[in-house]
Amino acid sequence: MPTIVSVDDSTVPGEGSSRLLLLVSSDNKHIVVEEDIMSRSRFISKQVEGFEATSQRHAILLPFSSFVLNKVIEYCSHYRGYYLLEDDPDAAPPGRSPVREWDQEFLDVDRNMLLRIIKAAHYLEIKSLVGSCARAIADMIRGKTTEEMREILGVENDFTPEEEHSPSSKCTG
Amino acid sequence: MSSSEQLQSLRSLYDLPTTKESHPVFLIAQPCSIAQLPVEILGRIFNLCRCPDKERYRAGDCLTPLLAVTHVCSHWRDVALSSAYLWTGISVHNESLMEAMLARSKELPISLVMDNKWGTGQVNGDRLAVACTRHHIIPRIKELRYLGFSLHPFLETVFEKEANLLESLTFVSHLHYNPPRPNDLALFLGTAFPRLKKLKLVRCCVGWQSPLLFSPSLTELKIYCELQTLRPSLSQIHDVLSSLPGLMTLVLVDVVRTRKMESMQHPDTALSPIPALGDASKVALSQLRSLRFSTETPVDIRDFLSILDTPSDTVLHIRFRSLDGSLRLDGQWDDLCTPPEVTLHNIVHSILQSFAPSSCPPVALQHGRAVGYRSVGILSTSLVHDTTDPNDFCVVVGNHDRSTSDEAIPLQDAPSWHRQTDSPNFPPLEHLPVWDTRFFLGLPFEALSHSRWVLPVTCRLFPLRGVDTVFVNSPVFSDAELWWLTFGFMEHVTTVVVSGDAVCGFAAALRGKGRPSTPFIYDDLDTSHSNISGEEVSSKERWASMIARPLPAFIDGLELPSQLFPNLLHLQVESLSADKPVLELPNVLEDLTAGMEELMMNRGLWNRADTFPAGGGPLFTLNFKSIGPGKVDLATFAELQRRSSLSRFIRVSPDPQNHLWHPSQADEPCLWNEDSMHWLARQGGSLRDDDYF
Repeated sequence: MPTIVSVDDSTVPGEGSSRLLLLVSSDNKHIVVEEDIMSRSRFISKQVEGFEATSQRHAILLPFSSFVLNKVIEYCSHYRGYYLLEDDPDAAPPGRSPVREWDQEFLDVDRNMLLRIIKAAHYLEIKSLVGSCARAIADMIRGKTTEEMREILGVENDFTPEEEHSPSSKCTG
Repeated sequence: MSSSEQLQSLRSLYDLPTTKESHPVFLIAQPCSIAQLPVEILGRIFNLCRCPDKERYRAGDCLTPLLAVTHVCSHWRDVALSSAYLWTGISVHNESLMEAMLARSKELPISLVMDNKWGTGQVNGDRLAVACTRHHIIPRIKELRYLGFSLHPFLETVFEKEANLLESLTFVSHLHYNPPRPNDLALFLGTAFPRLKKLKLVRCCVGWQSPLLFSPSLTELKIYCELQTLRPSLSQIHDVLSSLPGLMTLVLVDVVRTRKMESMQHPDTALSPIPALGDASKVALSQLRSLRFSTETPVDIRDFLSILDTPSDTVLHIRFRSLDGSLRLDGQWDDLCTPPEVTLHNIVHSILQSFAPSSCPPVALQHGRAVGYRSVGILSTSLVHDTTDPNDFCVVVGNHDRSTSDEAIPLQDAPSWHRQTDSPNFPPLEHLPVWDTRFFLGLPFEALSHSRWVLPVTCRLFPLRGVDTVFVNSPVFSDAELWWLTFGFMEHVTTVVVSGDAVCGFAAALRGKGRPSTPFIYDDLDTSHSNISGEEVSSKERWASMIARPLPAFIDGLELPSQLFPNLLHLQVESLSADKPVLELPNVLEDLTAGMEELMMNRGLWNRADTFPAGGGPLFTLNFKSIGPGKVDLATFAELQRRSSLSRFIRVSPDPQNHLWHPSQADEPCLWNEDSMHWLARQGGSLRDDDYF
């Protein structure tokens, strides 16, 4: 049987709130969340539309851990009811606005977690969260040398010495 | 229904898998690396690595981070090279690089930057013209920025072909003098850009018949510093603007011919006022969101504004800017125009009447932006700090919340409005229209050169009743009366930051009941200051020269409330260096303490002040900055505190965000956080109990 996470009154909404969703993480944790909170996710919205079409509701299985999922839910809860330009498909393409202050604190996590969050946000199609994570990562490596970039993001240099010193690479990148 | 019951009920709705293996999306947790990110996200990160503000950098500068990215690993290189949009910002100063960029950007529209400011040597025009033609880039140009001394003739060749995608065109000339040169825009006389939305011309020779200026698709027109000889008349401007109904941003800085120029060209007709235009002849710019206009005198501004019909919420940014850099409103106006029609009063009145309704609508917040009223800035070019004239002062009015508008005037620009204060033509300021809104987040009074009464006059000129934070560091404010005259009516002030000699004036002003009947300054205050020229000036000397100048009658006769800063919550005292021991002067600290006691008693906070609950909210904070090594001696300060019982007001706030400065900005410990307390303890300067000291 799947493990049921402990649920207190704060995580299970009371009567009168929006419908509930059951999200199941890759580590088999069940997380109950209001549908309204997750409406920022295009992926979830499409799933819900599917439920409505078939009049049958299912658990939504997600390919990331409950730890990451909880972070995403925290983000969605914070911006519940807010209009975010980046999430609007009809709005102008996202500009180079700085990372919002709250997002900055929210994304103050280790590199591994940051990458997991952006992957989850991409999977769930939450554009604003993808944008904030991308800006946070870009801020980490902007202005850094190639070597520093490798170190910061844990990337291995797989160029052969010949490739690394080839004239074309030096001239035009 | 209990939580567990709700959950059980919910689970029954779902068709749950019995094991995780039954569903393919379950994955085993594994380390996450950036290589696992989808290619489009990686490309987006690379794009964000470029300079955040591309306007401020050449395309070449934006390229450097991208080149670094391509050298990190083969995956990154593949992603970067296959993301065509990363390579669309092309700088024309190296043909081989340009060719590589063009190839990488595939068929996407491009932004082309031609930086020729160091002379023609950087751009071989003929070669590049050939290259542009060979690569068929003209139809791909979406944005073109050209920086140089004058437009390179090869552009003419380039634009013989139609640039159907061109949306943004910027020409910046680096010529700061006015040699005869051809009309830059003549190059484009026969060219049409059907999608042109943004046009920016800086120090170019604009031909005012150029079809470029009449592109109906324009939404943004910015022209800076047109040569005097080529400046258009108002009617020419009228014609141009009439053909741009979709304009949303208009910037005209030193562009329109002024009355003075008209008078030099047509001496007989120059003084006649601009004929009044009926509403029908006004240019209707119904989409205009931002208007920035700069010219020589307010009269010219009024003339210009009279031809426009704009929405009521357009942000207006006005700047007076004299060509020789020295604007003397009275003298110039009197020579140029016939009083009394043109007086400061009439000009300000007419500007504000036109653009700020007498009853300002309440501020509405929409998507985080303050809307509903205009932003009016009145400035001249000379900075306060550049002048030694003690009669200069500055006026800034408007909604200057920098976070809400790009067009707001930055406070640090210290705009100034020069004026001969002893002129007999000083207007009747008391009748100026009241524009009573919340103007500032903070009101900086920093210039040492302010004369004694200019600031009270300024504050009456545009009553700043909504001010909530006041910064004072001018030694002029060692006079208690001046505090009353300037800030007496600002009843919403909750925060005062005061430094140097002004601390004395503040202490005396706070202690007094009502405005002093005469100027008051502590007898023993005689510290010296360096003026703008670097000369040492004694406070006494400065003071003597100030009180020699009488206050205007309408200021002198003001009725003020009996309490200064009745809503004060935060006081910060700064710059108490050992060289200027103002707190050690007789009576200063006692007055400061007594004043604060009085303030708290009046507000019913007195009893609570003695019994701060541990962990309770701050009732009143007093922060001392610049105390410690190199500043006021700690032992002295401790002694001062004991003597004055000042310590009862000092409290360590649990929330650093509530303070006016950040710990990372402090060079030395301040008495406001735990570190400081430890530092104090090490110094043997533990003052009172643990909660507040």
